[in-house]
Amino acid sequence: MNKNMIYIEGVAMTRFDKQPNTLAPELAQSAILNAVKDANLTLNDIEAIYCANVFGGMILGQLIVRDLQLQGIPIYNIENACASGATAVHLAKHALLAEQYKTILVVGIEQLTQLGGGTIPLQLNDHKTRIYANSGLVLPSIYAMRATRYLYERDEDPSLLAQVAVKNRFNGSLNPYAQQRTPTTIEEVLSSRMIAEPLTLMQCCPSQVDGAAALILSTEHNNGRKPVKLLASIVQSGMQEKYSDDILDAEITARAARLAYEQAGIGPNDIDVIELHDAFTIAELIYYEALGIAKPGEGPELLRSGKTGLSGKIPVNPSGGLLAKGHPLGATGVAQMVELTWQLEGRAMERQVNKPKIALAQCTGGGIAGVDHAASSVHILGI
Amino acid sequence: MDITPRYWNQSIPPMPLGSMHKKSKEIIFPPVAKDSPLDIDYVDQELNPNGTLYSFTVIHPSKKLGIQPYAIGFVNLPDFPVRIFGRLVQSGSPAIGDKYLMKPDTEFGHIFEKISQ
Repeated sequence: MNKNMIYIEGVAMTRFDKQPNTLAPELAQSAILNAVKDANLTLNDIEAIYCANVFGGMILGQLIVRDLQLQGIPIYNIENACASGATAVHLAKHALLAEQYKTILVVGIEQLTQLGGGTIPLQLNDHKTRIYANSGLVLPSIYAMRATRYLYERDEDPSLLAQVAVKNRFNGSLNPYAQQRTPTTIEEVLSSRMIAEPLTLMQCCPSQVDGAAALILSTEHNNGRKPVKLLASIVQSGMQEKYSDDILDAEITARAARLAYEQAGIGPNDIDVIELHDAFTIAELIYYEALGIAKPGEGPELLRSGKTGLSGKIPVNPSGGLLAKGHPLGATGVAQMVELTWQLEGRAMERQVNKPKIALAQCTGGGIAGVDHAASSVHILGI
Repeated sequence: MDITPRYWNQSIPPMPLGSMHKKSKEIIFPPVAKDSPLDIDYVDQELNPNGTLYSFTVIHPSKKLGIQPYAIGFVNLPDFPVRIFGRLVQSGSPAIGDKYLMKPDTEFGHIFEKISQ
């Protein structure tokens, strides 16, 4: 085996749904045990655990594994807002490449139903964020302002945004792990309750959702299936916004993607399937261009062409994305890679895309004012 | 304890304040706090409160809360260039490119009031 190669040996996730009667450890343990089984390993083969979570409180990782009869292996708790899960994979990669461990478990877990509803709270330990939050800045409003500017600059109609929801809700209807499993129509999306103009309820990822996802990373391949390899792993942080910034640039995502392509030695045209961070419909459109799968200004054309549909040239969010699955923050980045591993291995059942070889996962973490996003992560997987 | 930085000066009418980075000349809002370790890299900058709406949204709170929809947005203040977020006050709907005046507000710290053209 190439000692610099990292394999995704096993993956699993729970259904994303409202599960208020299930504790976080139980959700996470379900994903962990299934991922270990999927890798044809035992828990004793795991040498370290990276646990991604945002709102679950301190030492959640240790709580999750307390009753698994492990022998005191290192457990690391990681938080990078919505990019926590992907960041955990990134850090696990470092440890594997440094030969600190051979086999690592990454688990992402979140229980948003425990927050009681409403928008995700911002990080208020900051003058700027606090002043802006007092004036009404919430995560949906940030994306809504991007959508307003997008429709203005591109001379587009809100129905374009609704098409993203229609596509992803259809994909979600084929995904037993998604919270929202009914297809929808443009009319239904546009007539759902207005949240922050022009974004209606069905253009926002569900915020009342719980879920966990896990994967096993290793420098050894022994699961009996064709190896899925981690070809690139990038994490970037937001830079202080300037007056001249274009809020449609998705600068941090474009930067992370560029670095990921360089690391993998490929370009956007080599990508066969993508899971990206469609927390709101406008996000998917903006990320088409930031990821380089559409030229600047050509995102709407790409969506309308059908090429990002399940049977298209470059399916985007075959899982249904965050819009259909829901977005349990700590779990999302890991769940994206679970889905992409299934896709690469031909195990995605009714939502299987056509023989992908290279997959890309992208997520962003927000919650402070003054940056595009606080964190962005891009991973490239290959088979 | 209110630790919000004071970002209106004492002139009549009050003018908003930002901070200019000494090297890059970039202006940030709100101004750097005087006890911040970063204060040494910035100088105070009085801003021109007249600006242009860059983007906006209208928030529709849940009906259960009994709060009327309200507009918020980013306004570009071009003279000492900085983009600032805040509540928008106007009759009718906002539109990108509309002119707004930044004014003090006891509830929000500042608002942007549309200037009739």
